[in-house]
Amino acid sequence: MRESRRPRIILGVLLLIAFSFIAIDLRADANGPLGGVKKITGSVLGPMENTASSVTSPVRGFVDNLTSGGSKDEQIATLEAEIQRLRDSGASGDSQHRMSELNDLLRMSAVGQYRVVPAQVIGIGSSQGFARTVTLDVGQRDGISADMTVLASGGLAGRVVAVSSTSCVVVLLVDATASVGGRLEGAGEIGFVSGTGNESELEFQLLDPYGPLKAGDRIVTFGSKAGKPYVPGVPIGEVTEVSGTPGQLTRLAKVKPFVNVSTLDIVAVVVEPPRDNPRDSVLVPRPESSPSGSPSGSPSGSPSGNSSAPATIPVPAGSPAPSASTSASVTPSARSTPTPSTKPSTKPSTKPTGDGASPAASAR
Amino acid sequence: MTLGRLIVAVLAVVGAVLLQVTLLSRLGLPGATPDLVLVVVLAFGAVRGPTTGAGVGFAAGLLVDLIPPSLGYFGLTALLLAIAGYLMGVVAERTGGVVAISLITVALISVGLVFGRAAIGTLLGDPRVSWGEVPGLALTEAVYTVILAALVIPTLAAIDRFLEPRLSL
Repeated sequence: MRESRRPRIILGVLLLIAFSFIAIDLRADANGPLGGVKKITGSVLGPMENTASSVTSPVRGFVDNLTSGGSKDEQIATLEAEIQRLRDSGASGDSQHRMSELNDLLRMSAVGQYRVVPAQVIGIGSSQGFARTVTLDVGQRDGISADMTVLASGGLAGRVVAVSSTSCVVVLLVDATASVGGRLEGAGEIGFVSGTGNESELEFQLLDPYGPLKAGDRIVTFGSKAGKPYVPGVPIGEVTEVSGTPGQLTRLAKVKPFVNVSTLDIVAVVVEPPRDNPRDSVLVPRPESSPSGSPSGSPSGSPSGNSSAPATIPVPAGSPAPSASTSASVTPSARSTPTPSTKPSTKPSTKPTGDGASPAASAR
Repeated sequence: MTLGRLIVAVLAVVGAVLLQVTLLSRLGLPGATPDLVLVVVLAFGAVRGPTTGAGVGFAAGLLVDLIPPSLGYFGLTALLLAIAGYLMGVVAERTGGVVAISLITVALISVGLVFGRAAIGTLLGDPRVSWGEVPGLALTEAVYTVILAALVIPTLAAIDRFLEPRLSL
Protein backbone atom coordinates (compact mmCIF):
# COMPACT_ATOMS: atom_id res chain seq x y z
CA MET A 1 0.00 0.00 0.00
CA ARG A 2 3.04 2.23 0.22
CA GLU A 3 3.01 2.82 -3.52
CA SER A 4 -0.66 3.80 -3.66
CA ARG A 5 -0.38 6.41 -0.91
CA ARG A 6 2.62 8.27 -2.22
CA PRO A 7 1.03 9.58 -5.44
CA ARG A 8 -1.95 10.87 -3.51
CA ILE A 9 0.22 12.78 -1.08
CA ILE A 10 2.24 14.27 -3.90
CA LEU A 11 -0.91 15.27 -5.77
CA GLY A 12 -2.27 16.89 -2.59
CA VAL A 13 0.90 18.93 -2.14
CA LEU A 14 0.89 20.05 -5.78
CA LEU A 15 -2.76 21.08 -5.57
CA LEU A 16 -2.06 23.09 -2.43
CA ILE A 17 0.77 24.91 -4.17
CA ALA A 18 -1.42 25.58 -7.22
CA PHE A 19 -4.23 26.89 -5.02
CA SER A 20 -1.89 29.28 -3.27
CA PHE A 21 -0.57 30.53 -6.63
CA ILE A 22 -4.14 31.23 -7.74
CA ALA A 23 -4.89 32.98 -4.47
CA ILE A 24 -1.79 35.18 -4.79
CA ASP A 25 -2.59 35.97 -8.42
CA LEU A 26 -6.17 36.92 -7.58
CA ARG A 27 -5.03 39.56 -5.12
CA ALA A 28 -1.93 40.83 -6.86
CA ASP A 29 -1.76 43.34 -9.68
CA ALA A 30 0.81 43.54 -12.44
CA ASN A 31 3.42 44.92 -10.06
CA GLY A 32 3.02 42.08 -7.57
CA PRO A 33 5.52 39.27 -7.19
CA LEU A 34 3.87 37.17 -9.88
CA GLY A 35 3.90 40.08 -12.30
CA GLY A 36 7.68 40.13 -12.05
CA VAL A 37 7.90 36.37 -12.57
CA LYS A 38 5.65 36.62 -15.61
CA LYS A 39 7.75 39.43 -17.05
CA ILE A 40 10.98 37.48 -16.66
CA THR A 41 9.57 34.25 -18.06
CA GLY A 42 7.99 36.29 -20.85
CA SER A 43 11.37 37.57 -21.96
CA VAL A 44 12.72 34.00 -21.94
CA LEU A 45 9.71 32.33 -23.50
CA GLY A 46 9.00 35.13 -26.00
CA PRO A 47 12.06 34.50 -28.18
CA MET A 48 11.44 30.75 -28.00
CA GLU A 49 7.90 31.37 -29.14
CA ASN A 50 9.20 33.57 -31.94
CA THR A 51 11.53 30.83 -33.18
CA ALA A 52 8.85 28.18 -32.92
CA SER A 53 6.46 30.42 -34.81
CA SER A 54 8.77 30.81 -37.78
CA VAL A 55 9.56 27.09 -37.77
CA THR A 56 5.88 26.14 -37.83
CA SER A 57 4.73 28.72 -40.37
CA PRO A 58 4.90 26.38 -43.43
CA VAL A 59 2.69 23.89 -41.59
CA ARG A 60 0.17 26.62 -40.82
CA GLY A 61 0.06 27.67 -44.45
CA PHE A 62 -0.49 24.08 -45.54
CA VAL A 63 -3.35 23.49 -43.12
CA ASP A 64 -4.88 26.88 -43.95
CA ASN A 65 -5.04 25.85 -47.56
CA LEU A 66 -6.69 22.58 -46.63
CA THR A 67 -9.30 24.05 -44.33
CA SER A 68 -10.12 27.30 -46.10
CA GLY A 69 -12.22 25.90 -48.94
CA GLY A 70 -15.53 24.31 -47.99
CA SER A 71 -16.32 21.65 -50.58
CA LYS A 72 -13.89 19.97 -52.94
CA ASP A 73 -15.17 22.03 -55.85
CA GLU A 74 -14.54 25.23 -53.95
CA GLN A 75 -11.07 24.06 -53.01
CA ILE A 76 -10.26 23.26 -56.61
CA ALA A 77 -11.59 26.63 -57.73
CA THR A 78 -9.55 28.38 -55.04
CA LEU A 79 -6.42 26.50 -56.00
CA GLU A 80 -6.89 27.22 -59.68
CA ALA A 81 -7.36 30.90 -58.97
CA GLU A 82 -4.26 30.74 -56.82
CA ILE A 83 -2.22 29.15 -59.60
CA GLN A 84 -3.43 31.78 -62.05
CA ARG A 85 -2.50 34.51 -59.67
CA LEU A 86 0.94 33.06 -59.07
CA ARG A 87 1.51 32.86 -62.81
CA ASP A 88 0.42 36.46 -63.21
CA SER A 89 2.42 37.93 -60.43
CA GLY A 90 5.43 35.75 -59.96
CA ALA A 91 5.18 36.31 -56.23
CA SER A 92 4.00 33.78 -53.71
CA GLY A 93 0.45 34.09 -52.45
CA ASP A 94 1.60 34.44 -48.92
CA SER A 95 3.88 37.38 -49.64
CA GLN A 96 1.18 39.00 -51.79
CA HIS A 97 -1.28 38.78 -48.96
CA ARG A 98 1.20 40.13 -46.49
CA MET A 99 2.13 42.95 -48.81
CA SER A 100 -1.46 44.04 -49.11
CA GLU A 101 -1.82 43.89 -45.33
CA LEU A 102 1.29 46.02 -44.94
CA ASN A 103 -0.02 48.46 -47.52
CA ASP A 104 -3.22 48.94 -45.61
CA LEU A 105 -1.34 49.40 -42.34
CA LEU A 106 0.89 51.99 -43.99
CA ARG A 107 -2.13 53.79 -45.39
CA MET A 108 -3.83 53.91 -41.99
CA SER A 109 -0.76 55.13 -40.16
CA ALA A 110 -0.06 57.78 -42.80
CA VAL A 111 -3.60 59.07 -42.98
CA GLY A 112 -4.19 58.96 -39.24
CA GLN A 113 -0.71 60.32 -38.43
CA TYR A 114 -0.10 57.45 -36.05
CA ARG A 115 3.50 56.60 -35.32
CA VAL A 116 3.58 52.84 -35.43
CA VAL A 117 5.91 49.93 -34.86
CA PRO A 118 5.18 46.96 -37.13
CA ALA A 119 4.90 43.61 -35.45
CA GLN A 120 4.05 40.04 -36.15
CA VAL A 121 1.74 37.68 -34.31
CA ILE A 122 3.79 34.79 -32.93
CA GLY A 123 1.33 33.09 -30.60
CA ILE A 124 -2.38 32.80 -29.92
CA GLY A 125 -4.17 31.67 -26.77
CA SER A 126 -6.28 28.50 -26.79
CA SER A 127 -9.97 29.02 -27.37
CA GLN A 128 -10.95 26.92 -24.36
CA GLY A 129 -9.23 29.52 -22.17
CA PHE A 130 -11.95 31.99 -23.34
CA ALA A 131 -9.55 34.95 -23.45
CA ARG A 132 -8.88 36.26 -26.96
CA THR A 133 -5.22 37.19 -26.76
CA VAL A 134 -2.18 37.08 -29.02
CA THR A 135 1.58 37.48 -28.56
CA LEU A 136 3.54 39.93 -30.72
CA ASP A 137 7.26 39.82 -31.46
CA VAL A 138 7.92 43.35 -30.21
CA GLY A 139 8.51 44.42 -26.63
CA GLN A 140 9.99 47.00 -24.34
CA ARG A 141 13.20 47.36 -26.34
CA ASP A 142 11.10 48.34 -29.39
CA GLY A 143 9.41 51.10 -27.43
CA ILE A 144 6.25 49.18 -26.61
CA SER A 145 4.50 49.75 -23.31
CA ALA A 146 1.17 48.68 -21.89
CA ASP A 147 -2.05 50.31 -23.09
CA MET A 148 -0.95 50.99 -26.62
CA THR A 149 -3.37 50.62 -29.52
CA VAL A 150 -2.79 47.77 -31.96
CA LEU A 151 -3.87 48.16 -35.59
CA ALA A 152 -4.34 45.42 -38.13
CA SER A 153 -5.23 45.53 -41.79
CA GLY A 154 -8.73 46.98 -41.79
CA GLY A 155 -8.78 48.75 -38.45
CA LEU A 156 -8.56 48.22 -34.72
CA ALA A 157 -7.21 44.91 -33.45
CA GLY A 158 -6.81 45.45 -29.72
CA ARG A 159 -4.57 46.87 -27.05
CA VAL A 160 -1.30 45.89 -25.40
CA VAL A 161 -1.74 44.65 -21.84
CA ALA A 162 1.55 43.10 -20.83
CA VAL A 163 5.08 43.72 -22.04
CA SER A 164 8.34 41.88 -21.62
CA SER A 165 11.61 42.96 -23.18
CA THR A 166 11.09 41.18 -26.49
CA SER A 167 7.39 40.34 -26.67
CA CYS A 168 4.04 41.69 -25.64
CA VAL A 169 0.54 40.38 -25.07
CA VAL A 170 -2.42 41.96 -26.84
CA VAL A 171 -6.03 41.62 -25.74
CA LEU A 172 -8.06 41.62 -28.93
CA LEU A 173 -11.11 43.80 -29.36
CA VAL A 174 -13.29 40.70 -29.65
CA ASP A 175 -12.34 39.58 -26.14
CA ALA A 176 -15.33 39.65 -23.81
CA THR A 177 -13.63 42.12 -21.46
CA ALA A 178 -12.56 44.59 -24.14
CA SER A 179 -14.45 47.86 -24.46
CA VAL A 180 -13.66 50.96 -26.49
CA GLY A 181 -15.34 54.30 -26.99
CA GLY A 182 -16.73 54.50 -30.50
CA ARG A 183 -18.07 57.30 -32.67
CA LEU A 184 -20.40 56.92 -35.62
CA GLU A 185 -18.96 58.11 -38.90
CA GLY A 186 -20.21 61.55 -39.89
CA ALA A 187 -22.92 61.95 -37.30
CA GLY A 188 -20.51 61.99 -34.40
CA GLU A 189 -22.84 60.11 -32.08
CA ILE A 190 -20.78 58.31 -29.47
CA GLY A 191 -21.14 55.07 -27.59
CA PHE A 192 -19.27 52.00 -26.44
CA VAL A 193 -18.13 49.05 -28.49
CA SER A 194 -17.47 45.91 -26.51
CA GLY A 195 -16.28 42.44 -27.41
CA THR A 196 -18.54 39.47 -27.07
CA GLY A 197 -15.98 36.68 -27.16
CA ASN A 198 -17.36 35.85 -30.59
CA GLU A 199 -14.80 36.49 -33.33
CA SER A 200 -17.15 38.09 -35.84
CA GLU A 201 -19.39 40.14 -33.62
CA LEU A 202 -19.04 43.20 -31.43
CA GLU A 203 -21.70 45.05 -29.50
CA PHE A 204 -22.29 48.80 -29.80
CA GLN A 205 -24.19 50.74 -27.19
CA LEU A 206 -25.26 54.21 -28.24
CA LEU A 207 -25.22 56.79 -25.45
CA ASP A 208 -27.95 59.04 -26.86
CA PRO A 209 -31.19 57.05 -26.86
CA TYR A 210 -32.57 59.18 -29.72
CA GLY A 211 -29.40 59.22 -31.80
CA PRO A 212 -29.52 58.04 -35.40
CA LEU A 213 -28.32 54.48 -35.75
CA LYS A 214 -28.87 52.09 -38.63
CA ALA A 215 -27.34 49.10 -40.29
CA GLY A 216 -24.41 50.06 -42.47
CA ASP A 217 -23.17 52.81 -40.17
CA ARG A 218 -19.44 52.63 -39.59
CA ILE A 219 -17.73 53.21 -36.27
CA VAL A 220 -14.30 54.65 -35.47
CA THR A 221 -12.59 54.93 -32.11
CA PHE A 222 -13.45 57.99 -30.08
CA GLY A 223 -10.01 58.13 -28.55
CA SER A 224 -8.92 57.95 -24.94
CA LYS A 225 -7.06 60.51 -22.91
CA ALA A 226 -3.49 60.78 -24.24
CA GLY A 227 -4.30 58.00 -26.68
CA LYS A 228 -4.12 55.29 -24.01
CA PRO A 229 -5.33 52.65 -24.46
CA TYR A 230 -7.03 53.71 -27.71
CA VAL A 231 -5.98 56.42 -30.15
CA PRO A 232 -8.78 58.28 -31.98
CA GLY A 233 -9.99 57.68 -35.50
CA VAL A 234 -9.23 53.97 -35.91
CA PRO A 235 -11.94 52.11 -37.87
CA ILE A 236 -13.67 49.52 -35.69
CA GLY A 237 -16.49 47.98 -37.66
CA GLU A 238 -19.81 48.31 -39.37
CA VAL A 239 -23.26 48.09 -37.80
CA THR A 240 -25.10 45.04 -39.06
CA GLU A 241 -28.20 44.94 -36.92
CA VAL A 242 -29.88 47.44 -34.62
CA SER A 243 -32.00 46.27 -31.74
CA GLY A 244 -34.29 48.49 -29.73
CA THR A 245 -36.27 51.49 -30.87
CA PRO A 246 -35.37 55.19 -30.59
CA GLY A 247 -36.01 56.45 -27.09
CA GLN A 248 -35.32 53.16 -25.40
CA LEU A 249 -32.98 53.52 -22.45
CA THR A 250 -30.08 51.77 -24.14
CA ARG A 251 -29.81 51.23 -27.85
CA LEU A 252 -27.75 48.25 -28.85
CA ALA A 253 -26.41 47.24 -32.20
CA LYS A 254 -24.43 44.33 -33.52
CA VAL A 255 -21.21 45.36 -35.18
CA LYS A 256 -19.08 43.37 -37.58
CA PRO A 257 -15.42 44.17 -36.92
CA PHE A 258 -13.29 45.28 -39.87
CA VAL A 259 -10.40 43.15 -38.62
CA ASN A 260 -10.64 39.41 -39.06
CA VAL A 261 -8.83 38.10 -36.00
CA SER A 262 -8.70 34.51 -37.16
CA THR A 263 -6.21 35.44 -39.87
CA LEU A 264 -4.28 38.02 -37.89
CA ASP A 265 -0.65 38.08 -38.97
CA ILE A 266 1.00 41.47 -39.43
CA VAL A 267 -0.09 44.25 -37.10
CA ALA A 268 1.14 47.70 -36.05
CA VAL A 269 1.44 49.03 -32.54
CA VAL A 270 0.76 52.76 -32.22
CA VAL A 271 3.61 54.14 -30.14
CA GLU A 272 2.60 57.78 -30.49
CA PRO A 273 -0.95 59.09 -30.88
CA PRO A 274 -1.69 61.68 -33.59
CA ARG A 275 -1.53 65.35 -32.66
CA ASP A 276 -4.91 66.04 -34.25
CA ASN A 277 -7.90 63.75 -34.18
CA PRO A 278 -8.10 62.20 -37.66
CA ARG A 279 -11.91 61.94 -37.29
CA ASP A 280 -13.31 59.79 -40.12
CA SER A 281 -10.40 60.15 -42.49
CA VAL A 282 -8.85 56.74 -41.79
CA LEU A 283 -12.00 54.97 -42.95
CA VAL A 284 -11.84 53.70 -46.49
CA PRO A 285 -14.15 55.94 -48.53
CA ARG A 286 -17.35 54.17 -49.48
CA PRO A 287 -17.67 53.06 -53.05
CA GLU A 288 -20.09 55.35 -54.88
CA SER A 289 -23.23 53.64 -56.06
CA SER A 290 -21.58 52.12 -59.15
CA PRO A 291 -20.41 48.59 -58.37
CA SER A 292 -17.02 49.05 -60.07
CA GLY A 293 -16.42 45.34 -60.29
CA SER A 294 -13.42 44.59 -58.14
CA PRO A 295 -13.75 43.72 -54.49
CA SER A 296 -11.28 46.45 -53.69
CA GLY A 297 -13.77 49.20 -53.03
CA SER A 298 -15.42 47.52 -50.08
CA PRO A 299 -15.61 49.41 -46.83
CA SER A 300 -13.98 46.63 -44.85
CA GLY A 301 -10.46 47.75 -45.41
CA SER A 302 -9.79 45.18 -48.05
CA PRO A 303 -6.31 44.54 -49.42
CA SER A 304 -6.26 47.49 -51.77
CA GLY A 305 -7.61 49.84 -49.15
CA ASN A 306 -4.87 52.30 -49.92
CA SER A 307 -6.31 52.79 -53.35
CA SER A 308 -9.00 55.38 -53.07
CA ALA A 309 -7.81 57.09 -49.92
CA PRO A 310 -5.99 59.98 -51.60
CA ALA A 311 -9.30 61.23 -52.96
CA THR A 312 -9.87 63.24 -49.84
CA ILE A 313 -6.86 62.96 -47.61
CA PRO A 314 -3.49 64.60 -47.99
CA VAL A 315 -1.30 61.54 -48.04
CA PRO A 316 2.38 62.36 -47.98
CA ALA A 317 4.71 61.36 -50.81
CA GLY A 318 2.89 63.12 -53.59
CA SER A 319 -0.39 61.35 -53.95
CA PRO A 320 -1.71 61.45 -57.47
CA ALA A 321 -4.79 63.48 -58.17
CA PRO A 322 -7.96 61.42 -58.09
CA SER A 323 -8.99 60.92 -61.66
CA ALA A 324 -12.46 59.53 -61.22
CA SER A 325 -13.98 58.98 -57.85
CA THR A 326 -14.41 55.21 -57.79
CA SER A 327 -12.35 53.91 -60.63
CA ALA A 328 -9.41 55.64 -59.02
CA SER A 329 -8.68 52.34 -57.34
CA VAL A 330 -6.18 51.45 -60.00
CA THR A 331 -4.29 54.69 -60.38
CA PRO A 332 -2.71 55.14 -56.97
CA SER A 333 -2.14 51.48 -56.31
CA ALA A 334 -0.11 51.27 -59.46
CA ARG A 335 2.42 53.30 -57.55
CA SER A 336 2.46 51.20 -54.43
CA THR A 337 1.42 47.73 -55.55
CA PRO A 338 3.37 46.08 -58.32
CA THR A 339 0.46 43.98 -59.53
CA PRO A 340 -2.67 46.08 -59.41
CA SER A 341 -4.75 43.79 -61.54
CA THR A 342 -4.63 40.78 -59.28
CA LYS A 343 -6.17 41.38 -55.97
CA PRO A 344 -5.89 38.49 -53.55
CA SER A 345 -9.42 37.89 -52.42
CA THR A 346 -8.28 36.12 -49.31
CA LYS A 347 -9.82 38.64 -47.00
CA PRO A 348 -13.36 37.66 -46.11
CA SER A 349 -16.11 40.15 -45.41
CA THR A 350 -15.65 42.01 -48.61
CA LYS A 351 -19.34 42.44 -49.09
CA PRO A 352 -20.52 46.01 -48.80
CA THR A 353 -23.59 45.31 -46.73
CA GLY A 354 -25.59 48.46 -46.43
CA ASP A 355 -24.05 50.93 -48.77
CA GLY A 356 -27.29 51.61 -50.56
CA ALA A 357 -29.11 52.52 -47.40
CA SER A 358 -26.86 55.27 -46.19
CA PRO A 359 -25.56 58.52 -47.57
CA ALA A 360 -22.26 57.68 -49.11
CA ALA A 361 -19.21 59.47 -47.78
CA SER A 362 -21.23 61.68 -45.53
CA ALA A 363 -18.20 63.18 -43.90
CA ARG A 364 -17.00 64.97 -46.95
CA MET B 1 13.29 8.95 -12.47
CA THR B 2 16.57 8.69 -14.27
CA LEU B 3 18.25 11.51 -16.13
CA GLY B 4 17.21 10.24 -19.56
CA ARG B 5 13.58 10.06 -18.55
CA LEU B 6 13.73 13.53 -17.03
CA ILE B 7 15.17 14.98 -20.22
CA VAL B 8 12.42 13.33 -22.25
CA ALA B 9 9.82 14.86 -19.94
CA VAL B 10 11.29 18.37 -20.14
CA LEU B 11 11.62 18.26 -23.91
CA ALA B 12 8.13 16.90 -24.39
CA VAL B 13 6.51 19.49 -22.13
CA VAL B 14 8.39 22.51 -23.51
CA GLY B 15 7.87 21.35 -27.09
CA ALA B 16 4.16 20.78 -26.52
CA VAL B 17 3.65 24.20 -24.91
CA LEU B 18 5.46 25.98 -27.75
CA LEU B 19 3.61 24.06 -30.45
CA GLN B 20 0.37 24.82 -28.66
CA VAL B 21 0.65 28.62 -28.87
CA THR B 22 2.49 28.93 -32.16
CA LEU B 23 0.85 26.25 -34.28
CA LEU B 24 -2.22 24.51 -32.94
CA SER B 25 -4.12 27.59 -31.77
CA ARG B 26 -3.40 29.33 -35.07
CA LEU B 27 -4.76 26.60 -37.28
CA GLY B 28 -8.28 27.87 -36.74
CA LEU B 29 -9.75 24.39 -36.37
CA PRO B 30 -13.44 24.31 -35.45
CA GLY B 31 -14.32 24.32 -31.77
CA ALA B 32 -11.64 24.00 -29.14
CA THR B 33 -7.92 24.22 -29.77
CA PRO B 34 -6.32 20.75 -29.80
CA ASP B 35 -4.63 20.56 -26.42
CA LEU B 36 -1.28 18.94 -27.06
CA VAL B 37 -0.07 19.84 -23.57
CA LEU B 38 -2.92 17.89 -22.02
CA VAL B 39 -2.15 14.93 -24.30
CA VAL B 40 1.50 14.91 -23.25
CA VAL B 41 0.53 15.07 -19.57
CA LEU B 42 -1.94 12.20 -20.01
CA ALA B 43 0.73 10.20 -21.83
CA PHE B 44 3.14 10.57 -18.93
CA GLY B 45 0.39 9.55 -16.52
CA ALA B 46 -0.50 6.51 -18.60
CA VAL B 47 3.06 5.36 -19.23
CA ARG B 48 4.87 6.33 -16.02
CA GLY B 49 2.13 6.28 -13.40
CA PRO B 50 0.17 8.76 -11.28
CA THR B 51 3.12 10.38 -9.49
CA THR B 52 4.87 11.35 -12.68
CA GLY B 53 1.54 12.27 -14.24
CA ALA B 54 0.74 14.71 -11.46
CA GLY B 55 4.26 16.18 -11.46
CA VAL B 56 4.46 16.63 -15.21
CA GLY B 57 0.93 18.05 -15.24
CA PHE B 58 1.81 20.59 -12.57
CA ALA B 59 5.00 21.70 -14.32
CA ALA B 60 3.40 21.86 -17.75
CA GLY B 61 0.47 23.80 -16.33
CA LEU B 62 2.75 26.40 -14.77
CA LEU B 63 4.50 26.83 -18.11
CA VAL B 64 1.16 27.23 -19.89
CA ASP B 65 0.12 29.86 -17.36
CA LEU B 66 3.38 31.74 -17.85
CA ILE B 67 3.91 31.69 -21.59
CA PRO B 68 2.53 34.74 -23.40
CA PRO B 69 -0.25 35.38 -24.39
CA SER B 70 -1.70 33.58 -21.37
CA LEU B 71 -3.68 35.94 -19.14
CA GLY B 72 -5.43 33.30 -17.04
CA TYR B 73 -5.01 32.90 -13.33
CA PHE B 74 -1.49 31.74 -12.58
CA GLY B 75 -1.72 28.19 -11.21
CA LEU B 76 -5.13 27.31 -12.62
CA THR B 77 -3.85 25.21 -15.50
CA ALA B 78 -1.26 23.65 -13.19
CA LEU B 79 -4.04 22.60 -10.83
CA LEU B 80 -6.19 21.08 -13.57
CA LEU B 81 -3.36 19.32 -15.40
CA ALA B 82 -1.93 17.86 -12.18
CA ILE B 83 -5.31 16.27 -11.48
CA ALA B 84 -5.58 15.10 -15.09
CA GLY B 85 -2.16 13.43 -15.06
CA TYR B 86 -2.84 11.78 -11.70
CA LEU B 87 -6.22 10.37 -12.74
CA MET B 88 -4.81 9.03 -15.99
CA GLY B 89 -2.01 7.33 -14.06
CA VAL B 90 -4.36 5.74 -11.56
CA VAL B 91 -6.68 4.38 -14.25
CA ALA B 92 -3.79 3.07 -16.34
CA GLU B 93 -2.29 1.34 -13.30
CA ARG B 94 -5.54 -0.29 -12.23
CA THR B 95 -6.51 -1.50 -15.70
CA GLY B 96 -3.05 -2.40 -16.90
CA GLY B 97 -3.17 -0.04 -19.89
CA VAL B 98 -6.01 -1.51 -21.95
CA VAL B 99 -6.20 0.68 -25.05
CA ALA B 100 -9.98 1.14 -25.15
CA ILE B 101 -10.23 2.05 -21.49
CA SER B 102 -7.27 4.42 -21.79
CA LEU B 103 -8.85 6.29 -24.69
CA ILE B 104 -12.22 6.53 -22.97
CA THR B 105 -10.45 7.90 -19.91
CA VAL B 106 -8.64 10.42 -22.10
CA ALA B 107 -11.97 11.60 -23.54
CA LEU B 108 -13.61 11.88 -20.11
CA ILE B 109 -10.68 13.77 -18.63
CA SER B 110 -10.58 16.27 -21.50
CA VAL B 111 -14.31 16.92 -21.19
CA GLY B 112 -13.87 17.32 -17.45
CA LEU B 113 -11.00 19.74 -18.03
CA VAL B 114 -13.06 22.08 -20.21
CA PHE B 115 -15.95 22.07 -17.75
CA GLY B 116 -13.59 22.40 -14.80
CA ARG B 117 -11.86 25.41 -16.32
CA ALA B 118 -15.17 27.10 -17.08
CA ALA B 119 -16.52 26.32 -13.61
CA ILE B 120 -13.47 27.67 -11.80
CA GLY B 121 -13.46 30.71 -14.07
CA THR B 122 -17.07 31.39 -13.14
CA LEU B 123 -16.33 30.92 -9.45
CA LEU B 124 -13.42 33.35 -9.65
CA GLY B 125 -15.59 35.89 -11.46
CA ASP B 126 -13.98 35.73 -14.91
CA PRO B 127 -16.35 37.69 -17.21
CA ARG B 128 -15.08 35.87 -20.29
CA VAL B 129 -16.58 32.47 -19.54
CA SER B 130 -19.57 31.85 -21.79
CA TRP B 131 -21.33 28.63 -20.87
CA GLY B 132 -23.13 28.46 -24.20
CA GLU B 133 -19.84 27.55 -25.84
CA VAL B 134 -18.73 25.02 -23.25
CA PRO B 135 -20.51 21.85 -24.53
CA GLY B 136 -19.22 22.39 -28.07
CA LEU B 137 -15.73 23.10 -26.81
CA ALA B 138 -15.79 20.00 -24.59
CA LEU B 139 -16.95 17.75 -27.43
CA THR B 140 -14.38 18.93 -29.97
CA GLU B 141 -11.69 18.94 -27.31
CA ALA B 142 -12.43 15.29 -26.51
CA VAL B 143 -12.22 14.31 -30.17
CA TYR B 144 -8.91 16.11 -30.74
CA THR B 145 -7.41 14.79 -27.51
CA VAL B 146 -8.32 11.17 -28.24
CA ILE B 147 -6.85 11.38 -31.74
CA LEU B 148 -3.61 12.93 -30.49
CA ALA B 149 -3.40 10.60 -27.49
CA ALA B 150 -3.68 7.54 -29.73
CA LEU B 151 -0.45 8.74 -31.35
CA VAL B 152 1.43 10.22 -28.39
CA ILE B 153 0.91 7.52 -25.72
CA PRO B 154 2.40 4.65 -27.78
CA THR B 155 5.26 6.94 -28.86
CA LEU B 156 6.16 7.79 -25.28
CA ALA B 157 5.89 4.12 -24.28
CA ALA B 158 8.27 3.21 -27.09
CA ILE B 159 10.73 5.92 -26.06
CA ASP B 160 10.71 4.69 -22.47
CA ARG B 161 11.28 1.09 -23.56
CA PHE B 162 14.16 2.24 -25.70
CA LEU B 163 15.73 4.27 -22.87
CA GLU B 164 15.41 1.65 -20.16
CA PRO B 165 14.26 -1.75 -21.31
CA ARG B 166 14.74 -3.06 -17.76
CA LEU B 167 12.33 -0.68 -16.02
CA SER B 168 9.36 -0.90 -18.31
CA LEU B 169 6.55 -3.36 -17.81
